[in-house]
Amino acid sequence: MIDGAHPASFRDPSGFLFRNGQDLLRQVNRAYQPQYDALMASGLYQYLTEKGRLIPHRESQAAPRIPSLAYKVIQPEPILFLSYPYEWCFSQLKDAALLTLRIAKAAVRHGMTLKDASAYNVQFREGKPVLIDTLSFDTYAEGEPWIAYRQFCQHFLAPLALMAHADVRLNQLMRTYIDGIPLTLAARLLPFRTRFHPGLMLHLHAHAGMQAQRALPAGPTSARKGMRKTAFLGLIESLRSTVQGLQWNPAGTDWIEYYEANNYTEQSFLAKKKLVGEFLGRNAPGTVWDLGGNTGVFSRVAAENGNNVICCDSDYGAVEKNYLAVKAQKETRLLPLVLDLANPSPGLGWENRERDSFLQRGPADTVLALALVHHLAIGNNVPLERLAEFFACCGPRLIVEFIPKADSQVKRLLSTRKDIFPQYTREGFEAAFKRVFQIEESVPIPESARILFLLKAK
Amino acid sequence: MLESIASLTGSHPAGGLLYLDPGTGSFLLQILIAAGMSVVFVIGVFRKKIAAFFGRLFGKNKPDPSQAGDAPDDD
Repeated sequence: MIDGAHPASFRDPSGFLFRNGQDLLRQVNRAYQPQYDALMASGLYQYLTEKGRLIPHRESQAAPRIPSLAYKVIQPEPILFLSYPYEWCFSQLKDAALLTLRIAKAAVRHGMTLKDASAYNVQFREGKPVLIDTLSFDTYAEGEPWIAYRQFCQHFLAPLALMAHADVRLNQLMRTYIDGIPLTLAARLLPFRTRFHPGLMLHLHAHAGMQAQRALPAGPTSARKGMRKTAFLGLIESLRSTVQGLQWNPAGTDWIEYYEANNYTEQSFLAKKKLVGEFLGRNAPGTVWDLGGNTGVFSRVAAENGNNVICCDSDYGAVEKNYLAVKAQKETRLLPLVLDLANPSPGLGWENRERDSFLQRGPADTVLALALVHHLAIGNNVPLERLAEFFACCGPRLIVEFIPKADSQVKRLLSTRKDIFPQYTREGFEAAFKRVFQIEESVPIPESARILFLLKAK
Repeated sequence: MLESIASLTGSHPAGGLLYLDPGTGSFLLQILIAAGMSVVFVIGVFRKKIAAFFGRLFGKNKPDPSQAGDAPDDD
């Protein structure tokens, strides 16, 4: 690995990311000079950045990491929290796909082509997807097919089709296949009826059938020069209409109706929101991880306090609902993500370092764990000490709710199993958490048996 | 089918190359469907023009102030 280069940045000879102190910089190599100059001179960069579709950058005077290869060093605007497609809900992946296609279309209109259609090149910034790889463009030569067609189908179309037509959880295949879901696998997993869907038949089933094709002979062939610009744009349009037509309805998932179905009284719920707001207000705004945050009710309390919030939940319906609300209300401080806390995203890819684990992307300044402890302690048999250690890894301040066995939600968890949790009492909770935290405050939530704790890591 | 694609593209799958390139099928598929995709493009442009015409006719093409700041789908 190039000394200091970002471990995810090694595939593209056009350049690479590297750290320079606190700054994340991108070296543009001389080999990419014509394309970089074309991006800037063609008006494409200005167009895409003005529309908020490409991350803006400034040219930096910092020393390149490998001067012998360097053309320029650029400093892209930083992204507060990197997230990955296996952590996105259906609409997040769909919006990222539509963004990629819009950029591909705009590129052709400016005499360029999008050479990478990786879902990892898209990140969420202020509630919206944005392309973060400035070096994803090449000059367009009429006649060339779209070089990123297969990658787009693997990274976007296959997972979206599987989520819409088979099971929304199948986007977890993106965890296993770092370069997107193989089309042959997606075609096998999709229901037979998708063969009668024109877009999926063409871009997925027929495309999968072509994957065993042998390599073309070297040198120019009609296959490399046989696609007129209208056909290229038609291909993008066909993909757009296929993606646009994919829908997923989250009704019936576990948690989406949680707030409607739980046992809070209205007064109790409002009191809890007020308390959480007060606890958050004790510190300057920063980053908040709302773990098990459902549709983001308490994340919004944190966002209103000026925090940038990552709201994680394992339920696709809750995350979908949350993201759609972020879009509808144009919220800029909240990023909903699908995350199973019992098995959070690991480090993936080459040397396990291309995609950071969830914890590597921390720590947060404050962690919210509301109505969560009983699920992990009783639902997942995680000892309270281990739970406290995990939260301490997530961030130095913790706002945590303890729900005793007398509460109906805990009774429900215990109704179908033997109670093997003698430690699960307020005293047991405090003893376990005091090993790594100090208790700054604990307040009972009115009209409930629940207690809200404000803790600080030792 | 592959034979017909090969004849269309002037390349032959059994051209003596022993390895599989997963990108090749994607290239060939695009060539095969290029004519159809041109039609998709033309229909798309045509549809937009018709929609714009009727929009003007019924005065529905005024910009929506609630969408201010949002990027229109103009690329």
